[in-house]
Amino acid sequence: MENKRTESAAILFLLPATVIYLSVIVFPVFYSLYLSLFTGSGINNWTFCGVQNYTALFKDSIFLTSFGNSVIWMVLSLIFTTGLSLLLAVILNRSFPGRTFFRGLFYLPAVVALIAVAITWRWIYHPTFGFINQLLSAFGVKTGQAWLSQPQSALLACFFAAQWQAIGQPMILFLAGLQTIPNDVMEAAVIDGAGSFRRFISITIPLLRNTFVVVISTLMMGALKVFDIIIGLTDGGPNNASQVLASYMYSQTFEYNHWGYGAAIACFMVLLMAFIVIPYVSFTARNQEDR
Amino acid sequence: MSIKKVLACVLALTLCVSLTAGFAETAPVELTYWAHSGVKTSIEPMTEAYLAAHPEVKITVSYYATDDIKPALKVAASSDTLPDMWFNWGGSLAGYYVTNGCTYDLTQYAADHDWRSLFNGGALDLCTLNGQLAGIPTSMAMLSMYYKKDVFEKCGVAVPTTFDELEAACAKLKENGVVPFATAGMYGWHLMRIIEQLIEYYAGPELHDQLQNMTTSWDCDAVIKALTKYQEWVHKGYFPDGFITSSPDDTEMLLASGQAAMDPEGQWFDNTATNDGLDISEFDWFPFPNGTGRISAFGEMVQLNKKLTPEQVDAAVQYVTYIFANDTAHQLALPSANFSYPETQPHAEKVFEYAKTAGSFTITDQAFPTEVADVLFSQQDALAMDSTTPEQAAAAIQAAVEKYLAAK
Repeated sequence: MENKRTESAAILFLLPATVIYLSVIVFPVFYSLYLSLFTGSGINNWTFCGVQNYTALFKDSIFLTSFGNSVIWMVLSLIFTTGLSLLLAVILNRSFPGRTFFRGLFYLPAVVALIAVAITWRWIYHPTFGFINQLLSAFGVKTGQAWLSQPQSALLACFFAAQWQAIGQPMILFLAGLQTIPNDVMEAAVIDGAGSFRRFISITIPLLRNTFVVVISTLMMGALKVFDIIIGLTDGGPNNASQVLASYMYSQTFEYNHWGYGAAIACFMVLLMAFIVIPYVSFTARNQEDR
Repeated sequence: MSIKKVLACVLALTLCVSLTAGFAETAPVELTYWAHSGVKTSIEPMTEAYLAAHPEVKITVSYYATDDIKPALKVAASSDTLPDMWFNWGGSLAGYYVTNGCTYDLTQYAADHDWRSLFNGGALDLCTLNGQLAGIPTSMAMLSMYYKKDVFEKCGVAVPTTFDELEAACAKLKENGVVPFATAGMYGWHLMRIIEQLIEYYAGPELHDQLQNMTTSWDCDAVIKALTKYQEWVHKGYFPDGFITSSPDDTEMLLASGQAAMDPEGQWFDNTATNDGLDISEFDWFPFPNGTGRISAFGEMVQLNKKLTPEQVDAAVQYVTYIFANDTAHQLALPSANFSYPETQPHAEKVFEYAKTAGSFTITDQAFPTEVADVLFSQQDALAMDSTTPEQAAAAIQAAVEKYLAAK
């Protein structure tokens, strides 16, 4: 009787969150899947088209560009963001004067909204008034480089602007992970003659496995749904050179009113994330169990 | 029954009647309005004053920026949650809601209330879309080339009256280290203001109108020449560095700093420049010397939801005409039959007077549906990056037109 009452109470307490979760997350996901099977302008004129929206994706050169850019962003995030945030965490884990200040300084951009980051960096990259070109001019390098207007550099410029904000969160996760590494393990390694690089590779990285799982999976998901920084800096330009999946999905849905096609892109993104992230997390979890 | 009980009943009955008496009064007419945030400083105080004077009306105003209101309206339209009235530009932007049956047709209302004597005829025409008066006209925008007088003087450049003079002026400005056009291509529409003038120059008015109506091919000599000239100007450095991903919000800074000389803007520039702390007397304007004299124009309006009751329509029209005719902050001017611009907008009246006789054409991004306009914008970028040729660009635009017409 007591158990039943406890169960009922638990269900009641879970009910509001469940309702919100179902209505805000689950239902829209399935409704998007349903919408992706139709073509129409979004008002009163839906036509069922089956998987036509999906087959059209791979004939759409701009979609393929945005897919490629999203993959590039993900690879760069895995290499650069992970590497830099780990490096900063290792440095900030050591004892030195002002350590706490620097931890706050490097983490602070993580609390800034990405669109605010985009507005700030748009000025930093400005060909005439921007800080980068002004600094280069001060060193005698007259560039007038339009960082955001060159198709070769636009995506990379957006990526580096995003890193200013992106490294804070994984840095904190790595820092927390580093502080769980027992000192006696390190001391034993030192006694055995292991150098700092050897200790880092053989002790630190393996013991940070769980942190890596969290950081890598969140970076992968974040990379595939990057949006604000692209819209704020280049709006997908010049000429779609910096278009990514999320920004292309937005433009198809809200600018061109191709709601079904936009929904198909959104569903593709979900499938892609599931295809990449789930096996990774399962694989690492299985490896951990085997140990 | 005792007297006390009778008295209690009478008092209770009196109380009930007095409570229900409140319900016999007319409830205020309620309206929701999505306005452009650019006029918030004007609309807010005027709305407060209007509602204070009209307790029979209750209006809730929400403000959206230029590139926010467009998707917000589309989401609202698709979910049948459009507000009672909303700001919109003309052409294909407003036409979308007309085509999809979202708007109240004001044609009969306008006829019944003699709007031809209340509003400027051109404004009513710009707001007539797909045979329907699609909104209450609130503004007419006329685009011209605003320029910085001191920059022209310093470079020894005279105001150009012909296309050749314009090119000579650009060359001289460039020689003196000044960027001729403060143009920004991030969303395409600002740069398009130059492109469409080049098309007007090379195509002439009749062909240009046919191009905009998509009744003739864009893959033609006139368009190719216009795009060739645009690409030539890019190569000559007549546009700022990195202009294709610069925001239109940033062009004023180039003008203010004297690093650029000219900016294709509407008559609202008088007001926005003043609000941004610039001295408007340092600027002047001239019509782009496109050989025809026509000016690019568009209307702005407040569209009404088709679900409004007659009382709500009356209330909406009274409110909108009050707001846009009583501009205490000198930001707005109702395109009424006999309006004049305030002194704080010294150029606006002259631009408007010029347009009356010179004529106008609808601004291209409103003449075109979004999917065709976006192809034009992407070709603008591609030409600037030399990743396409004018011939290929013209063909791409025509292909987009044909695709749109086939889907329609």
